[in-house]
Amino acid sequence: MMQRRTLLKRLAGLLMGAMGAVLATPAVLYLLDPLRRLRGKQPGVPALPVARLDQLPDLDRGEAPLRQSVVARDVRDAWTRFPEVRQGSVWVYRRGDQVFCLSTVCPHAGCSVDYDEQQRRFVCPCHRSTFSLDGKRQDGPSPRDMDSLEVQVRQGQVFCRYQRFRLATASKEAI
Amino acid sequence: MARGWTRRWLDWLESRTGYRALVHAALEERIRGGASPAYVFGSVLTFILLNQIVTGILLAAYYAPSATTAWASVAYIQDQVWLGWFVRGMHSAGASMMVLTLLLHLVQVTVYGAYRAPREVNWLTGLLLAAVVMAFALTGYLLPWDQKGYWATQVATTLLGATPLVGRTLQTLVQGGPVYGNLTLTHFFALHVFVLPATLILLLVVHIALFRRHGVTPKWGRSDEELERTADTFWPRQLFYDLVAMGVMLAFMVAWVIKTHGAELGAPADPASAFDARPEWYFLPLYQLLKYFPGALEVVAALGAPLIAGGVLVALPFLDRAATTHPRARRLPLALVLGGLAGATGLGLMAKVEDARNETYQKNVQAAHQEAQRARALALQGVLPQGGTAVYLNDPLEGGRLLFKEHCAGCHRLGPLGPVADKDVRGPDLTRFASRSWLEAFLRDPNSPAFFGRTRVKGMKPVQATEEELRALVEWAYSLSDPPDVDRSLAARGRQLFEEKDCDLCHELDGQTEGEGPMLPGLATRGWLVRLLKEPASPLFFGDKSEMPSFANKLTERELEQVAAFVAAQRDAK
Repeated sequence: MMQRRTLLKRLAGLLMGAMGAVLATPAVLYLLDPLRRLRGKQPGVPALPVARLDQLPDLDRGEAPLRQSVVARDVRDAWTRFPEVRQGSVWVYRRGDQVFCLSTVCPHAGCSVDYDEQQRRFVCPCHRSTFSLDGKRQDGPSPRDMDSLEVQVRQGQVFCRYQRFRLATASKEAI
Repeated sequence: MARGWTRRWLDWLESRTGYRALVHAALEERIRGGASPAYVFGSVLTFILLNQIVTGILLAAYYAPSATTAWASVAYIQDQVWLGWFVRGMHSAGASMMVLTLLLHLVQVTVYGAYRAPREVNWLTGLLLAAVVMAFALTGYLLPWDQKGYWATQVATTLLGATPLVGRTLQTLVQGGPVYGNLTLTHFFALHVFVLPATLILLLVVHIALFRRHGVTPKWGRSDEELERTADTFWPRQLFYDLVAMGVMLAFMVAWVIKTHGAELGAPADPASAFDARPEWYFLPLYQLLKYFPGALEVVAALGAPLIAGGVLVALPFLDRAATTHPRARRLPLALVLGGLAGATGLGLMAKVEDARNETYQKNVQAAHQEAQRARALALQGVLPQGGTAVYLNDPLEGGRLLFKEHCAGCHRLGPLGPVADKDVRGPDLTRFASRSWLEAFLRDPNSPAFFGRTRVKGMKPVQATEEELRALVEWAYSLSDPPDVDRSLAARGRQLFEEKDCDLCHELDGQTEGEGPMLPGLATRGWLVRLLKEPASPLFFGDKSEMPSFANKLTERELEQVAAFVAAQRDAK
């Protein structure tokens, strides 16, 4: 009789374990799905169109830079596909043959950097950091130059790889 | 040994909580007359409830209740999340098994006479639990926001709205407005995942506590002395029976879910469509009953039948005045419950049989299934933020049509699209573009207002040829987009005529040489159209006389593909 009770106990334990495993295994895999989705995907930064080359102001000829928003197309967020998602803004312009594309995000505290037409330089309205026409740091608390973005010109169209960078550090690190 | 360490830790826990008394009380429950497989249903129900809670929480981790996101998120769970189909399938199968086991539980309790004094309150809480389970089923059915959930649930809320006096107000409150929308989903979601579970668990606690107070109702015909002598504890034998029953249930559910690849997900809810809705199997008897009560009587039946059934069940313990629990002494209560169940089963089967014989319904089911497959395949690309039926815009023909309307129909006519006034037309009419009839009309008069007559691209002369030659040229031009029904020999003759008629002086065939007219290889294929959309003024196409703008930077690659697919499909349009 005792033996039978022990057998029942063992079997009961086995059954509970098996049923728990049947329920828990798919549950865990299901919850790990976002990790699986990430695997094998290079999180590359896409080049996005910001302006036409012939529209670009030339700062060397006294023109003011263009402030453009960078819009990503066909962005997936789980089940939704957004036709357009605003990523951020850039200052885009030429100096002679060289095309510039600077993030409007101030490297100091993340405010939006303005262009001062009188002084012909970039100024952050929050803490008065100033930058040259090339985006080089001049005065104020900004720890580094304005963040320049990689530019491509294809078929008369200017593309830039929009990225955000760590704030308040001397070095420019993408995040 | 590790056992010593575990034991020390458990002793510590015992001294701080006294948990062993609780476990003891749970497992050492006394069962008069001993364990029996007849007692497993309550435990199986609790087990299915556990399954519903686990899978329900998992589903909630990927589900978004709103009219714009519900369907897309469920399609995402069903077709993209790792084992999402399984988790959703287990939740759906669990719902069905819950109702089924509930009925078995009801039958067991009725046959054994377990509803009788002193267990009336326990019986009543059981009935309330059953009502809560049905409310779960009803609210859960709508959440995927697919066609069947949307339309089947409309029936329920419409009937609610027909309740005398308060109906309209109730319906508006439940729906969150006069028609289904975001608030209907958030309301149903709140009910399904917060209100009903809380109610269920509360009732279940009372139900189990009362059960423990009164104990099991042993099978009739055994003396008190015998019951005492054969008494056993819950652990281990009854628990073992319970576990085996749970295991069988789980195995069946898993097999069922794998076989059916989880629960069906229909096409997204579309208020504009016609849909032949049917409720889940457990509501079929009521559905069938409604067929027999025309017009105003329908409401009476819909509300009356469940009320009468519920009333009988509530009254059961008070009707049963028999001296023993022997079934022969309790003919009326047994006849009421079992007869009612048999009647309901009969009605449900009739509904099934009638549907099986109904050819129109079968066709509708088939069509709905195909529509669902199409919608779900398109949803793999992600659904636009409008959600639901916007999934069809992923179809290049549908998305392309909208893009054409927006970007091309300012100049080009195509079927009902395009400028109304002739003077606004500034490009060829693309209705049935590159079909044999279009090509023939074009070759006869390329400079007609329907083609290049209203553009600066004028230079091609009408083809001078006999009817037979014209047919051959048309067939050859038609063959360039590689349709399935080309007359090869006729096309070959056309190819010959292409050179004889000096067409090759302007139209290049290698896809590289720049000629006066557009290149013809791949004419009207998607690739050709995408290239044309990108650089219409290229020497390969219309050169600098072209007034058509380049769409290279206006549309994305995906959009260009969609427009091209839409225009290319004109060839085979009816």
